Amino acid sequence: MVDTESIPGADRIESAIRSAKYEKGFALAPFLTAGYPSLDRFPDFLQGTAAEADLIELGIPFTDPVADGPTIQRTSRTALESGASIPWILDLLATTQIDTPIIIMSYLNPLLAYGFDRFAKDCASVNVCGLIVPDMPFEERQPLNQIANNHGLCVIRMVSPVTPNDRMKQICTAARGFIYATTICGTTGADDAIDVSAEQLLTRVRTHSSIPILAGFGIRTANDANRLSHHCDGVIIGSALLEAIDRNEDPADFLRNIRPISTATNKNPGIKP
Amino acid sequence: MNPEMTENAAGTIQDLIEGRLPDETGRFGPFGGRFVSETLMHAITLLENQARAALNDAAFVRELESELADWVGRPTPLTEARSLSREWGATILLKREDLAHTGAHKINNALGQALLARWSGAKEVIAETGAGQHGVATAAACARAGLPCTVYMGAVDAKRQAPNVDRMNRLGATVIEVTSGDATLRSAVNEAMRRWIKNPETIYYLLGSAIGPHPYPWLVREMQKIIGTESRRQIMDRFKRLPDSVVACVGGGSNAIGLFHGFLADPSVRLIGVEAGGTGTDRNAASIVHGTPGVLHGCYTLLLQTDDGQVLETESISAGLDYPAVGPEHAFLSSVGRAEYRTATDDQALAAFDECCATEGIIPALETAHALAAAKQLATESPGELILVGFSGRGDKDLPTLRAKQDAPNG
Repeated sequence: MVDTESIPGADRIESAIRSAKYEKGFALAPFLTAGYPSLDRFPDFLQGTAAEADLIELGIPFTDPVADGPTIQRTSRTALESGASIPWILDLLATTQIDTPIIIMSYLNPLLAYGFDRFAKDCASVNVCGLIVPDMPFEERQPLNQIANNHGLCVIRMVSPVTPNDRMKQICTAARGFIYATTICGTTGADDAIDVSAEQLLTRVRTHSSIPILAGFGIRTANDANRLSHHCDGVIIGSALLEAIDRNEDPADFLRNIRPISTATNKNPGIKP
Repeated sequence: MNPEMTENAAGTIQDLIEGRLPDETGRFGPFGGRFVSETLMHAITLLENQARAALNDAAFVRELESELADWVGRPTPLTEARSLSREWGATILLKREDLAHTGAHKINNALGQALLARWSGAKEVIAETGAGQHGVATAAACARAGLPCTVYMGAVDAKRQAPNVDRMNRLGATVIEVTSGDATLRSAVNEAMRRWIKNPETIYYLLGSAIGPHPYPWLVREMQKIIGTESRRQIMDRFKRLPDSVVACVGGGSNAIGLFHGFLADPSVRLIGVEAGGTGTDRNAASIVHGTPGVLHGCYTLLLQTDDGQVLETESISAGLDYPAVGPEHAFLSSVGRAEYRTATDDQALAAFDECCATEGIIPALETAHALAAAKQLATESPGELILVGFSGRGDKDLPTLRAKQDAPNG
């Protein structure tokens, strides 16, 4: 059974999230658009972000990011114009020492162009642990899921507020690494306030999932993160971080503000790793 | 072809003729599928169930047929283009979708889906538009069906098809000009999809071409196949024979797929799709002739893209054909060799446009002019044949583009 075999990438992700939940209250998983704001400046941002992160999500820029809001559309366009590509980001990872587990986010088409097997193999060789493919729903998960597993990587599954319960159960049962719960319907970077429906979704996911749950989409502040962290294992922050970079803020400072360790509480501990 | 996507692909032209395609995963052979975010999966699954139920509901079908006759004005005429036939040396027949209400074939699909939206209890309809014909058709159909309507249109297109923006406003629709991306049809689709993701439970996304995730390519084709059914009957009645060739322009490809479906099971009939050749081999919108397989807007199809899988910007004088992908069923028909695809350049389309206006007294849409240009070519290649042209729409909307071109220092 694929679903129960050991996948090293998934194991690393799960253990990183559980440790963070236990030690720091919740896991912090920042998202960066690979190659933004420029190919030259990105490596520093990557290092600074990784230092504060428990898990880091790197987005391969794509011309038509339909699941993304204005910020990531813009950063993707800039990154593409400056020449970011899959070979570029893989080369960078090969020459950069990063201990934080890495997840690559990409729309399906750039992966198809690169070749699934070649991509999974090259990712595994630079310590990437998992993949997120927003336009590849559960029904279309093969053959990429199997190919990724063969190379020790997992493909992260997403659920949303409109995912029905029976479907959520099916998705959670097959998922590895963590469940990515999009707390709102919409695109990334929304400015709708995080409300009770987000908490309801996370509670619903918890009843179906035995692996960690990360909340994402529209999480902008320490308040958002703290509030949601009572119902999940961590948060993904993308657009707000990229906007901080635009304001010339240090990404590490921005992330420390999201999760001030000194005040972090441990109200809902995970299992001690 | 990507081996990953074709491993389990099955499907023959016979499967298509006998109604087994798309299959339960929404595929025509390897093409099609449902590549959307999790938030939209529930919405498109529900849409498919509702569409199948409605098309099997006698009352729904009766209302659709009666509206198509009395509000749209179907059946549309089949006109023999006597002057063009004489000039070009073949018998040229025009299936006059330009005479359908709102001036293009788009109304067949817009009306059918607007009635479906009302039937399924949707609260609001959104749509994308390129040339504005689908936007106008959707605005009109929603006014008729009593549903509020918002249309996303690329800012570039809104400028070059200004008369259609006025028409949409008059028909009570809200037009949102899209400035992201390349500000043409493909960016309008992106924005409409983003809006839909936000409210998948109350919004009905009325997609205008046979593109996108399953069930749209199937649903739009079902709404458009009336063009082919009527044409075949009209030709058989009048000429007592089948046409030698059937020619239609292809952007996303809804008018072409609707027309082709009437003749799929007639192997003697050549099916010829005409893509926008733009200004040449580097700058065009010909995704079948010049493209490679990939995923855009929810389906696996043929795309204009870089080696890295980034989608290219396209170029065509015709806003309605200016799209970097094509409906998956066309990609399938091309791959199994049942239909042929070629291009007409901007200049060829403009020449055919002028000839049609001057000698037939009909102003074609610039999209339609591409089909006419290919018909002229075919007549030269095989003189004396009976050629059916899908006359997809009227060209009034294109007059500002043509005026601007005339006034330009080099044009």
